[in-house]
Amino acid sequence: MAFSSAAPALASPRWATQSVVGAFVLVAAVAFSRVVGASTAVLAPLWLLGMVAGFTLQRSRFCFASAFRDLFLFGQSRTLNGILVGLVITTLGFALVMYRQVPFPQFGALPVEAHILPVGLSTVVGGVVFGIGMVLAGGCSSGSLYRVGEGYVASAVAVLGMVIGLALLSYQWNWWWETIIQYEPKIWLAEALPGGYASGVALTLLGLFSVFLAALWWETRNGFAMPSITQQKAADDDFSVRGRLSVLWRRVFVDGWSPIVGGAILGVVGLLMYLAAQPFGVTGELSRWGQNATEALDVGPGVLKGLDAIGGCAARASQGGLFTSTFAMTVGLVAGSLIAALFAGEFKLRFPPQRRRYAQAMVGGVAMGYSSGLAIGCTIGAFFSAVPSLALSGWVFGGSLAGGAWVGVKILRRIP
Amino acid sequence: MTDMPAPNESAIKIDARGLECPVPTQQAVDAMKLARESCTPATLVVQLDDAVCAADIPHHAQALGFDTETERANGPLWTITLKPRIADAGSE
Repeated sequence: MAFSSAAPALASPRWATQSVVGAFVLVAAVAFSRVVGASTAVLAPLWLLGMVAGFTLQRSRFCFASAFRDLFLFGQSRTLNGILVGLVITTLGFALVMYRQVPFPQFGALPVEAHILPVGLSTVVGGVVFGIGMVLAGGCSSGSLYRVGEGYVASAVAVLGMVIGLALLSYQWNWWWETIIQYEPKIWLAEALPGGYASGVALTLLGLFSVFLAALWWETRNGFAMPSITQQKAADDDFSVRGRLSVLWRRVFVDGWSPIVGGAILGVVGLLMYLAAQPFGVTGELSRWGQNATEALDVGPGVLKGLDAIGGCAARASQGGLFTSTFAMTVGLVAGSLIAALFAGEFKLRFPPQRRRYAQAMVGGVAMGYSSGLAIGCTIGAFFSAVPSLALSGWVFGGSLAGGAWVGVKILRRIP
Repeated sequence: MTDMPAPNESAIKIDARGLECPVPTQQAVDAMKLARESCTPATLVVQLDDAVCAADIPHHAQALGFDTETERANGPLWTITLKPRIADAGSE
C-alpha cells in the first residue's frame, strides 16, 4: 500500500508571504491575550487555549460533522477515533477535577462548572436538529468557526445563521423552559450509579470502547476493510541541521496532523480549560452576539427563565462586557485557525461557486443555532465537554446527533 | 510540479476545485466505485482545494483498493492521484 505525499519547496513566495503574515498575527494574538485578560486574569489563558484549539482543529482537519456524517455517507469515518481518544483523555482528567470539587457525589451536589445538562426531549430534539443542520451546513459550530479562519465565506454564513437561530430560540425559550426543560433531570453518572466516580468513569470508558467497536463493525459491514495506511514519507536524505528543521517544520506547520493527534491535543486543551475556569464551549458566545444584537435593536426577548439553574453554555451567554470567557474561547479559536492556515500557506478567501451553497449554509446554521440553544450546547459544549462531565445528557445528545446526521445525509443525497 | 507521475492519457480527471467538503470526497469516492466495476480500472486524478477532503480522500481510497499520491501546489491546491491496486480491484 502506497501513500505518499509531496509538497512544493517552502521557499516559494506565497508561502513566504503567508508565513510572515502568520508570524505577525501570532505575535499580535498572543499579545492580545493581555488585553482580553486585563480585567479578569483567567481570560488570558483561556484565550491562548482557544488559539491552541483552533490551531489544532485546522492542522488535524478535524471535523465533528464528518465523524458522524461520513459513517452514513461513505460507510467509514476518518475523524471518529480522534474524537474518542480526546474523550478518553478528558473523561479521566475531568473526573479528577470534579473529585476535587465534590469528593462525595452521592450527596446530590453537582460540580459547579461541569457540563451536566438537563436530559430529555430537549436533548433529543436538539441533537437530531443539530445533526441535520451540521450536515447541511457542511460543518458543526467549531468546524464552521475554524473554516472561517481559513477563509471560507460560506462557513461565515453558517456562523451568522447560528447566531440568528440562537436569537430565534431565545424568543421561545421561556415556553421550552416552562413546558419541558424545567422538568428534565440532570443525571450525573457519578451520583446516579453505586460506586460514584469509579463506576461513572468505567461506564463512560466502556461506552467509548463500544462506540469504537460499533464503528468498526459498521465499517466492515459496508464492505470496507479497515485500511492500514502505511505512510511512505518523502525521502528525508538531507541530514543537515537545516534539512532536519525543514522536515520538522513541514510536519508540524504544513502537512496535516492525524486525527488521533488532533483529538488527543483537543482533549488536553479541554481539560486545561476546565482546570483554568470551565469546560470548552462555543455556543455561549454566538448566543451572546444574538442577544446583544436584538437588545441593541430594542427587540430583545426579555428575561429568560431558569438559565442560572442550568449551567453549561446557557449561563455563560448572559455574561456582560466584551471580553468574557466565551469570547476568549470562541474568538481565540478563529484566531488560532487563521494562524495555522497562514503558516501552512492555506489561507484563501473562498466564495462558493454556486449560490445555492449560501442558502444551504444559512439553513443549516439556523438549524444548528436553534437546536444548540435548546440542547444548551453544540458538538463541543453538549457533547465533547458533557460526556467527560459524566453527564447522561452528553450520550443522549451524541446519539441524537448520529440520528440527525443520518437524516441529514438522506436530505443531502436529494439535493442535486 | 516535481514528482508528479507522468501524465496518463487514460487517467480520469476530476476537477473539484472550489467545492467544499464533503462534495470533493463524494465525487472521488463515486468515481473510484465506478472505476472498480471495470476490469481495467483507470487511474483517477482529483484536483481540489479543500484541506479536509484532501485528508479524507486517501483514507477512503485505501479502503476502496486505490493507492494514492498527494501533491500539494503552492497554496491550498491538492492533486491526488488514485491508482487502482489491480490485483485487488480487478478481481472484485
